[in-house]
Amino acid sequence: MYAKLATISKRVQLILKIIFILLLFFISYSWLFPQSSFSHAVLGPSLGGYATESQIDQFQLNNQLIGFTGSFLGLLPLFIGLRWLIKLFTNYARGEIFTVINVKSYSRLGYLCLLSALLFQPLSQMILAIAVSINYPKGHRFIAFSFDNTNLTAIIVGICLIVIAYVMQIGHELQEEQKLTV
Amino acid sequence: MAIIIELDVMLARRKMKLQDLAQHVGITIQNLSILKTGKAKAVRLETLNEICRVLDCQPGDILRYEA
Repeated sequence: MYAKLATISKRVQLILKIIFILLLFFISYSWLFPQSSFSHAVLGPSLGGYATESQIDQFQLNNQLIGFTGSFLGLLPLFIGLRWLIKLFTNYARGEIFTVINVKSYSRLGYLCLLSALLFQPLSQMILAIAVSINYPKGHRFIAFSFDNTNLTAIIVGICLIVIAYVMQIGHELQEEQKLTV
Repeated sequence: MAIIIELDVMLARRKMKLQDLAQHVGITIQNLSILKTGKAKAVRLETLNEICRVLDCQPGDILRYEA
């Protein structure tokens, strides 16, 4: 009965692990070598309109350090979320579905999404703007605060996950009841 | 819960072991232990029917309400 779920969970677990490693590599490489075309492709969307490719090429060590911090902060909820998801799918692969730990995982993931959208993403964007403009002459430096549809999506996903956690809690109670039905 | 399970009393009266009852009823001894120790949250009518048939008793001989 649970064999198919176990197989799928193992595959998802593997995919999530690969994403985790690739993300870590992409972000580190991009800020270590911002002049490469690969870095332009990675950093371009996250820096948005703050810096052009030629400006990215002129990044100095302080730009890179602050930039890495900003990017890492923005991705931190994703890293934490991926770790929790890997754990969740490990439990699924073991056949542990409606457990208290899984209920808590869903709830935590939900709150993490909300926290990411409301705190980490805006903070990350702010730091990235500082990273780009730190070496500009006085009066040209800027700080930015953004809230776009990505944040809104994360909020909606977060709320959905919190509701799913409640559903999972009911599932857990039903399973407990079923276990104790003779 | 105020429902008292008196399965052990009936088993003693019939001089039957829990293992034998489980075998005759067709459920695991673990599940029967859950019932015997009063940990069960629900009893299927099907199971109760089988227990009463094997022990030749009434449901009231196994279940008792205590206020």
